[in-house]
Amino acid sequence: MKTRLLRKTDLIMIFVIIFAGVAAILVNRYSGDSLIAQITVDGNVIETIDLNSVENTRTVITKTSPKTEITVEKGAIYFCKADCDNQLCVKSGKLTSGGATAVCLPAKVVITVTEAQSVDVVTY
Amino acid sequence: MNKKHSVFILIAVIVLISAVILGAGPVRKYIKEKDSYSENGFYMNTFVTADITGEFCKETAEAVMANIKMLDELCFSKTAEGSDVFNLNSNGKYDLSDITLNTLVAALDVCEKSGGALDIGIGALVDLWNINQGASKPPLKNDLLPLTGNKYEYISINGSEVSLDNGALIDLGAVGKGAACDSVKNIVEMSGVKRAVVSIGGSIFLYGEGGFTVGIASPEKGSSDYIATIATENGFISTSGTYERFFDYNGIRYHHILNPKTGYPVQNGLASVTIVSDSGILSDALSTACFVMGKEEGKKLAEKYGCQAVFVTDDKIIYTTDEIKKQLTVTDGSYTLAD
Repeated sequence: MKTRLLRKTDLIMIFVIIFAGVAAILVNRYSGDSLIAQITVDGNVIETIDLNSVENTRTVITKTSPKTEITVEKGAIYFCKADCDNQLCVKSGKLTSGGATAVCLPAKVVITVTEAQSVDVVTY
Repeated sequence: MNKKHSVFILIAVIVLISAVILGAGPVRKYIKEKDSYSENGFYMNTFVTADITGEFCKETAEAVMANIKMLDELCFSKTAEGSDVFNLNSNGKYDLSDITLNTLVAALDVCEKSGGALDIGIGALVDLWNINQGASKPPLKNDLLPLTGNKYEYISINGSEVSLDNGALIDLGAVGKGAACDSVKNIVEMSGVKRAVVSIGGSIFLYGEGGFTVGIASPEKGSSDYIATIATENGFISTSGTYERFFDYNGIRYHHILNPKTGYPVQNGLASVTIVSDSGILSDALSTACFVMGKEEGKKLAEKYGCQAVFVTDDKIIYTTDEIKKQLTVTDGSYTLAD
């Protein structure tokens, strides 16, 4: 009986393995490091978002007093509106990198952003 | 080897390779998360975070938060009924707990050595401005003036009894967060955890091996961004900045760092001062004192205490004491490090 070194099915399998390997590497490379934002109200997490995987810009409204509105978009998160006088949280601007924090003290709303490669903490 | 068998092996290999490549991240993350714990809350009129790594990380983080809450309510708070500072301010005389007394003594040393640039006796002036509680316009000059001028000289200590005179009222706003960081250090060291990063409103305690990278807040954006990083080891870092608490009135910015001599917010071209120290209370007290004194005199004071300082000016130049320069990296291209 004649034995061929490689059968047709073997070739298909090898092709599939190579394809799977390359696809996995590409997925890892182009998805980027995750940029995780967390919104908390008085210490309780109300939402955790991977900013790099946000597709549609949206607004999170906190049921706090004063009320705050938070815009979530690809790669960034920020307070866009707050029903208070000083507007310190809105002036914080966009949070785009790890270690960043924006706080609304009166409403006790906090946005923190973390990523794999960043500072441990920010002094302010 | 038959055909079915080889197909089975190949599929198994594919599944294995995919699992290794795709699963490595989440698995590592799980292991890391199991060993570390983050807790946050609102105490001392600010936002507090504790990130702890090691065995008993959760218990340690909770103990740290409870300790900060206790220090605020029983010792440093000006408004919490029954706290040491509340009782002292209301009675004019009070027998203080050790921790409040030690904090007061350490702070008074900085008041004296800074020639009153830091003054923990200006509680009445701070109340009049009311910046922390959302003031929207400055007080009248005639109301301000009686509340200025070396009020700390009218704080007398006799054993553990402290008395106030001549309108002095205690305000530990410029030192309490740092003193709380010192107290946190004791808990963390006893707990045996590997690593701890505790931030009390941006006053930071760092503990553990491997070093830390600390961002200096952007004067434009506050804690949401940073302009430079400091590579450092165990210790304490505090910053005083004009961007922290302020209001705008008739086009003028009024921030929370008051000059005790004039009664008005300091206007000397500085945007922030960061102090690196092996003492929490010193890092906090000196960040305010050095800010009020300005960069030349402030630098001398920091060095007198063996601390390192970073001064950021409104025109985006960064000045430092000599030793810390090599640990500093400017990360925002619009800022320059002075020679």
